[in-house]
Amino acid sequence: MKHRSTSLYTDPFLLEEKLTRMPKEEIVKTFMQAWFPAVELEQISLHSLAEATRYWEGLLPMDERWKELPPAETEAGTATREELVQQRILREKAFSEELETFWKELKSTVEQKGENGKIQYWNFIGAETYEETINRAFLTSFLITYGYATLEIHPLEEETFIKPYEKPEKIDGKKQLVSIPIAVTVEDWTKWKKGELQ
Amino acid sequence: MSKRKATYASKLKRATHMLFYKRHKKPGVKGWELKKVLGSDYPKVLKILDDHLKTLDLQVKTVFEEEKTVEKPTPEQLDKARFLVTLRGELTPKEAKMIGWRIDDLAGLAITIAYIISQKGKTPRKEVEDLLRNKLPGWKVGQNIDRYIRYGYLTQDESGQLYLDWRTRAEVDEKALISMLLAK
Repeated sequence: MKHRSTSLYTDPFLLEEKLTRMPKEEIVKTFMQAWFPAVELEQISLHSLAEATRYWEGLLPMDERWKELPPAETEAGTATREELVQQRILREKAFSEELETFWKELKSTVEQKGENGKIQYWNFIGAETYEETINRAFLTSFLITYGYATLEIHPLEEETFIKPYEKPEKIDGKKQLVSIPIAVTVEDWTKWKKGELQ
Repeated sequence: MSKRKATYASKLKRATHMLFYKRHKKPGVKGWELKKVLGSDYPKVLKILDDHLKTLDLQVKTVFEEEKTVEKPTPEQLDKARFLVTLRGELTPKEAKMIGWRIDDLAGLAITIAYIISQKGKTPRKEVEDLLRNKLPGWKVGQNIDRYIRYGYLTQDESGQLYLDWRTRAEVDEKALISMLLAK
């Protein structure tokens, strides 16, 4: 619809030349002979004022108009476990079950590839895809928080290791807990894939 | 006054109110709206109104949906058309100033419209900006084009092409403008 064209044929170069050469006063003077502006009036009338007053009188105060809506009624129904997993409400495995499996994986990886009972953090969380890496970093954070493993940080060497416990450690509520933020960026993941990240 | 005359006098008043006062974002009224209020003989009422307006240097202008002038419009074409009141004669530059237009802005509009017509109805915005920058300060060029778009003289698509919009078709005699510019 927007691709409209007029049927008037004019040599564009000739016209452009004329437009560039003409002083703006002359352009305006010419335009005035071909421009017939529309008439538009806006005016308040006694009738519209009376209408508006009637409307105002019938208008409910704001607090009455914006009363809290009653909670929407929802019909109870049933859903299968598969449906909930599909909607990402439930995971395929219970979280604790998933964490246990992950802990076992950490222990076996450390046994195979680790040194002194620990493994480089990135060598454990790193996966084929970035999404999977994030998921592994997320689960690792819970392994640490729930006492299945601990972090060993060597600040001077800028190295971070993860060390699994043989048995889950009891979390001492009185002990001051420390949060250690570890950025898992796409750049770091790409470097790790290329073997450039230690 | 005969009953017939009284009916038309009343219809004339209704038509005047509808055409002069802004009802929607765009000025004017659609044919079907007039038909609803005035009846199916609304083209006749508009003709009488147009005759009355002649003395006031105004006219009833019809803008057809198909964007071209229609010699003998069908009732369906009229129903879909927009009717509005425009000036019949010419304004002087001084009068244009009175209705809110600065000479620079008006010259910019004239150049833009003429250039788009010469480019067969569409042109990249960049080209118009370059043309206007010849005589207008750079910071004003973009602002002016946006204003012409806002008023309905131009329209712009996603790829930055400018086209003439409904207001140009309603208010500007494109053929006359081009002929006059070329004759200069």
